[in-house]
Amino acid sequence: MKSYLLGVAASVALSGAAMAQEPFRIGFLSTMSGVSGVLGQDQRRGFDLALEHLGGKIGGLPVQVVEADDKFSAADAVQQMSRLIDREKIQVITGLVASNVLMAIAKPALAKGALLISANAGPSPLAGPGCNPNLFVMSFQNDQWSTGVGKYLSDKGYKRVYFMGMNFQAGWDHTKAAIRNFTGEKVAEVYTPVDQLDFSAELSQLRAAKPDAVYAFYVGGQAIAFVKQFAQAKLDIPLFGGNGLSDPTLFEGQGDAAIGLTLGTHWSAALENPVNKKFVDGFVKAHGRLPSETAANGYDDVLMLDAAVKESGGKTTPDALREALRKVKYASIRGDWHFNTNQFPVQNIYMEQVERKPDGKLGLKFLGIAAKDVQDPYVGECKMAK
Amino acid sequence: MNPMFRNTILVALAAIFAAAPWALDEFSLNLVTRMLIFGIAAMGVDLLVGFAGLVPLGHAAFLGLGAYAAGILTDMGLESAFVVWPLAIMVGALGAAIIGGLSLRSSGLYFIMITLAFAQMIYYVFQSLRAYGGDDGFALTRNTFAGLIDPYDSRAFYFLTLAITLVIFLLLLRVVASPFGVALRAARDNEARLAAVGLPAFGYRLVAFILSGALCAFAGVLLANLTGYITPGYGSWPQSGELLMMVLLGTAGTIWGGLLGAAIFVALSEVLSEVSDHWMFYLGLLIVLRVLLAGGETTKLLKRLDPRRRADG
Amino acid sequence: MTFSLFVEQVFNGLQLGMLLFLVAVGVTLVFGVMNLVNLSQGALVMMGGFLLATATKATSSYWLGLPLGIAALIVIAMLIELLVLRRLYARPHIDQVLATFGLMLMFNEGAVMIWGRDPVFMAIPAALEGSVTLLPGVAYPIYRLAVTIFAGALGVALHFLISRTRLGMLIRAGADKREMIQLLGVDIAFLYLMVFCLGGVLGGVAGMLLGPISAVTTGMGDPILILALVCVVIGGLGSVGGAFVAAMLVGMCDTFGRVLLPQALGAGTGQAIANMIVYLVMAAILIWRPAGLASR
Repeated sequence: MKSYLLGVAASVALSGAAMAQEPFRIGFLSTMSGVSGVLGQDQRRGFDLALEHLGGKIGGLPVQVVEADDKFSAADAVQQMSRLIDREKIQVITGLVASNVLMAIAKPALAKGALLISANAGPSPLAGPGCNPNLFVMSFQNDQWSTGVGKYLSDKGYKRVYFMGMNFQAGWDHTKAAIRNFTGEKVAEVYTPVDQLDFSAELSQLRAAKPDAVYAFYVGGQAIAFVKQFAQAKLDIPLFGGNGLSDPTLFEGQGDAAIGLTLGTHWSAALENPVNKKFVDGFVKAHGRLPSETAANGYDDVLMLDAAVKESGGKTTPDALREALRKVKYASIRGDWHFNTNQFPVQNIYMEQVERKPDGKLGLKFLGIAAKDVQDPYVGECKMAK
Repeated sequence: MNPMFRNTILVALAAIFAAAPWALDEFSLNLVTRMLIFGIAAMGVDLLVGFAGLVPLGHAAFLGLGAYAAGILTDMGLESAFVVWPLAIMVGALGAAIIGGLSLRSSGLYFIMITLAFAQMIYYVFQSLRAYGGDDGFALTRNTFAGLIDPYDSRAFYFLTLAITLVIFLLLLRVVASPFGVALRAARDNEARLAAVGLPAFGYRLVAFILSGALCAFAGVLLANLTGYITPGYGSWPQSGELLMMVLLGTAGTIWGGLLGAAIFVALSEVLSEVSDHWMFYLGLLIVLRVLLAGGETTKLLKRLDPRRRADG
Repeated sequence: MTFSLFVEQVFNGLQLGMLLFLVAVGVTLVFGVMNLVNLSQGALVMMGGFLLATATKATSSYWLGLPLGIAALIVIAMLIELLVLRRLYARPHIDQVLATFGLMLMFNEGAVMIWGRDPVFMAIPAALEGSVTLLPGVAYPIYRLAVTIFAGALGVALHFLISRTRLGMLIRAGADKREMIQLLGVDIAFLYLMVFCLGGVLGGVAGMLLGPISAVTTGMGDPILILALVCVVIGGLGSVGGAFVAAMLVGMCDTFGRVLLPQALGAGTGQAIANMIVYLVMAAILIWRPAGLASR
């Protein structure tokens, strides 16, 4: 409610202050409630922090953000997309934390001529045949994190790796990409249901297989349960994963079990650059903990839009923004990256490790670049219409 | 109700629904279409709740079956709604025949839980369909109508849904007033007497179950077309709970209550979620209050409808 | 599968079964005595997790947190019974289903309103960390063994409560002989309150036991509730013994299904059937005995 009313209040305030300038109206469609609500909420925190850092303006224009909650449901997402486009007359929609939601709204929203900018979800079908001139994914494609992890595992000389993941599209994308980029022996490839309670049966199998290392794709509550149970099983096997396996929203829930996890990511809170420092410090000050990867994408999204609106000379129509985004250059919190021909990022994948900081809290240690200028493997299947 | 008064209301309602596409923006029109679609499902559920005295907590499974059947058939290259829709509804009816056949051997609370468990089974089938996106689901290209209707025209789709809803509503009114409907209620009120005159309650209940499953499947087909996307969530158990809420929010045992309840529910969840991220709490609170404060007609009617719990209480 | 791995998986299945039993027994008791279906049992599982985590944090001790958490659970269960369920006993099933469904929504979101969206931490108490050697080559986590034993002990205690005490006699008399119980001068309202608290606390304790191995988050009780309802259906509504047998069956089928089926049928099909195995078993049992295992 707060954020929604703030949006309205902001628009009222702006209508007085900025009579001359039409506000840039952005739809923020994300998962704000329910079990996965933490993702959209953290994304919005990052988004709002960037707006604050930019003095409430994007590309010099006053901003009006209209929030919509997709409730993590395809049917609700399509309904909310229609609210933003048909009722609010908004042509630029961002947020989009969940792949199933992005998949559901992509076709109808693009048919209505809207510009979609995903600041988190990057499902493979939309990187390949489903790519579209008005669809940008500024965060990552699912395969990218684990491409880095797979290479890292090979480089570090691990011979036999056990692969596990959640049984849905993102789980398959991530896990299979890790396997593809790993040169050693795949001991097993196991997928568990998205709502599994207990991993004891799988961990017993894992122990018996005696691998050198384990790659696991788990997110949210599943990541907490898996990481805790893995640690409790005292397997003495290093655990690797993508950024979702442990992030600052999960640190409290995972506790010491997270220490030592090695994660592949397109952005790290431990990344050293002035923009990222400003973001991380600002976030910690406002919310009392490190930002998560969704918060980072929300923040970087606004920085990117700011540069794009400047590039377009203050035009915010989908056509003008599309052209501007294609050549956008800005100081990103994750270092240099650019859009590929399928309008998904080409970027470095970093490795980070969870460790206990001197102040007693969990933090992240930067390990280095696992893979440079990674593009997704689906770009060849994208025949981008002009 | 005095017929004059009733006719005035009916004419007014018809005028409102006919004018809706011109009075509303596309978002609101789609919201009304959604209300009608859930109305169809809720009327189907009401047939069981209000007339057969059975409470199913798994009818979202049929919503899902209809949607998945339509989506998969369309994906296989069948595009025409005239082919896909009847087939999808038949899939729903077939599922209902099997699940109904197994669940109707029990009654009361047992029936509630068995329908829930079977619906979970179907939900996991949807989730395991890797070719159709697994848990993420898959997109559906709207079905075509041999060029008669543009499936992407919101007004046309609204009027189509409205017509279907109206036909189903009128048919259901006839069904519950027919000898079949009388037998269904007799089975609810006194199964032994019905059996004594040589009419097995099981058969009537099974037919009602299949009919209500088919209606939910029809709603699933329409919802899949409206949304253009299908996920296992269509068949999730909270969705089954929501269907029951719709029946309760309207008035059970009236058929029109399903339509009214679906409209209230869709409007309520839209308004609540626009106002607060904690909409789920307030929705829950409203439901609890609605149940606790409903001392009126609904409860009295339903109490009469449920002889089994009086029998063991 | 080697013998030692087989033994380990048997223990895993036992542990899952025991947790399910604690949740299921609450549902089945409330049904047997009050003839009421309680979908808010999953919310009590979740509350158990949150309350123990909070009490442990506040007192810095798991063993102090445990009684405090249980006390808070009793209060919540009493409030649910007094404010809502009490008014529903004479109501039709649909009212019960919807009111308890509404309660579930309220608790799930209420937990977010109180504890925020970030998950809450809960660790294994220090005394129960580490693992023991069950057989040569089979190291099993002490905590999981303790969960199995504790839940089993609760089950035995419950058996004595029901078969040997006055409260138990009244529970056994159940819904069938409600009038007779009233003639005996028993305060029915009080009996119902006790039974609901007992069932609710057992569910909450399952959540407390689950907390250290799982995630304490909103909605954590919902998947357990569904599995517990399956146990109740398989076991026969109202039957505590039936719920026990069913919970063990479900625990074993789930554990071995997940391990063996993907090996036997290939990853895709095997995993799909493993997800459904519990429901397939339920369907098979219902075809054989429509009113569950304990039916006469």
